[in-house]
Amino acid sequence: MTDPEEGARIVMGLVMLVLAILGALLVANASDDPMLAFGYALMIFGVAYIFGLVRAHYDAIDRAQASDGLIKAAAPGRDRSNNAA
Amino acid sequence: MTSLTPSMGTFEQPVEAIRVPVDYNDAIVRKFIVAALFWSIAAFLAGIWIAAELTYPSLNFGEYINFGRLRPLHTSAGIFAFGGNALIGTSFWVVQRTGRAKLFGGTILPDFIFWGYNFFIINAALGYLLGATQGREYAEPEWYLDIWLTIVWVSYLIVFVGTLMRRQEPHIYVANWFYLAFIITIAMLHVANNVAIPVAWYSSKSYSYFAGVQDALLEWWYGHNAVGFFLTAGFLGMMYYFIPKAAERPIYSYRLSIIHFWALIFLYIWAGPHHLHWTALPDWAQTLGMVFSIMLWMPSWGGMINGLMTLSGAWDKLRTDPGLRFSVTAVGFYGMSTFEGPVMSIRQVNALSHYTDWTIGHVHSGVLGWVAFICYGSIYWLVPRLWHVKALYSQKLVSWHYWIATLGIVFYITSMWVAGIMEGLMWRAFDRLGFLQYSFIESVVAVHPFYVIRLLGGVLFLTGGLIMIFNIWKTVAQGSTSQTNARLAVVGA
Repeated sequence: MTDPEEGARIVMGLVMLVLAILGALLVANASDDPMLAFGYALMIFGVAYIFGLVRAHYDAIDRAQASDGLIKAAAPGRDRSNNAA
Repeated sequence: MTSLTPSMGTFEQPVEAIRVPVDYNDAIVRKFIVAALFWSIAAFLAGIWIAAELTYPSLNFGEYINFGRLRPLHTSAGIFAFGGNALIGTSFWVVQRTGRAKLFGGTILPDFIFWGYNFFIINAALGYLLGATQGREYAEPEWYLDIWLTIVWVSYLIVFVGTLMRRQEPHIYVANWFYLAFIITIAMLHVANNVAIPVAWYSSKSYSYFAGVQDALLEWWYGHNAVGFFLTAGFLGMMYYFIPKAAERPIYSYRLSIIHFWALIFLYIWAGPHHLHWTALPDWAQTLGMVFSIMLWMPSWGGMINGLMTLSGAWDKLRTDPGLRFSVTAVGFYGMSTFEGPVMSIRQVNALSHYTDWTIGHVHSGVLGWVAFICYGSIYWLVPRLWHVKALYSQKLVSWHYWIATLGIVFYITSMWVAGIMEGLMWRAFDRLGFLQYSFIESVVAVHPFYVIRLLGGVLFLTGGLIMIFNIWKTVAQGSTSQTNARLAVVGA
């Protein structure tokens, strides 16, 4: 593992997977409109969050390679490190 | 620290000089500040629309955007979306800087707090529009969102306390005390006030576990402390960090800030019953709420004096720093609204003021004058530092924002004071024979001109907010342009 946060990302991804499935269950069984809307929102939130985690995973790999000198310079706008100027 | 320690450096080098720089998590602060700005405009727009609906009732068309559904959307957007995002964002900045420690939880947990909190806000708003509400003021979201918010809030507590525990500074700066009180107390209030039984697992509807006057007391214990700990303690944390920073002066009296903290924490939690004067609540409980509200004058004004006196020797900065002007005016409004609140909590005054627009004027002098202005002052100070630019795009626009917003508040609160006192007097007026002198509709007609003035005040406040968004947009664009140029230079080299 190149990134110390990799394990946390996997755990968070599993949590979001459970939430997305819960959202789907709510959509299937909702007895009123607000619960239906919440179910859809939860499902979309869970899936979108997992996509975000996957992107963060590959960004971390890019950063690690850049720091090893494998990538000379990040393209403008690609640097998503915390204190990116 | 001026002492020299051989084990930590050479005798020629002070200890301060060998401090290891901390890689602060500023990305999360940027996200929260952008969200706060976005939600501020949403809150003001909803407020203007419902003010227009009150002024011109024919605007209440359609089930989704009538006053009853939009009003909680406006209050939640203002308090929890705008205020909440600003509070969490600034607390993450303050706890890192004053403790010289990177935020606990890596990037994963703070990111979850950001997305989870804003997911709560969007779903709460969606629920209001679709008619889902508990009918509890400032706690309208239904049971499923209450559970979600609890998870997010506990994560927030873990990140904040975790960062405090890994701090490199021995002392916990007072601003963090206020932020921590805000986090812990809101957690306690939220859980207790939202104990409810859902109608079914797949239904949005629930009923409170409590009933009758106990339920009302619990709701206002929560409601008033949402004001005390969300809208006061949290923003006092902001005041105690950003005013000294902007003024480049230490707090006037650190000892007074500690007294301010403990007195406020002890007294505020008892003041809720003053919302239930002249109701089925026992007299002793009403008196208790009233007495503790009056006692709150002391810490409130102590805090206000501490904030204002911090500018001793730096008052000239108000001429050149309009951002600081926002913060100082905010402290003035804090003093004014915390004077007015205890006055309104006196049972005899409350007999006149309750259920009238005076209350609306009082609340808005607090949330626009104190909460929004302290946020503006803090955000104007933060933005250049967060986006690594030398200064804001335009100080002149900050000044325009200040004067337009201040004028908006003055229109708003003065019109509501006049309307409220007039309503109270009309409702209690009797003729010679003991009959009510005015029907209710006559009082509605009488306040119409003041509702128009209030609407104008709201439009002015929104205009100021839009000026701020434009100014910050241009400031951030300045920063990103210079960064892109720097990167291209690196690639070219």
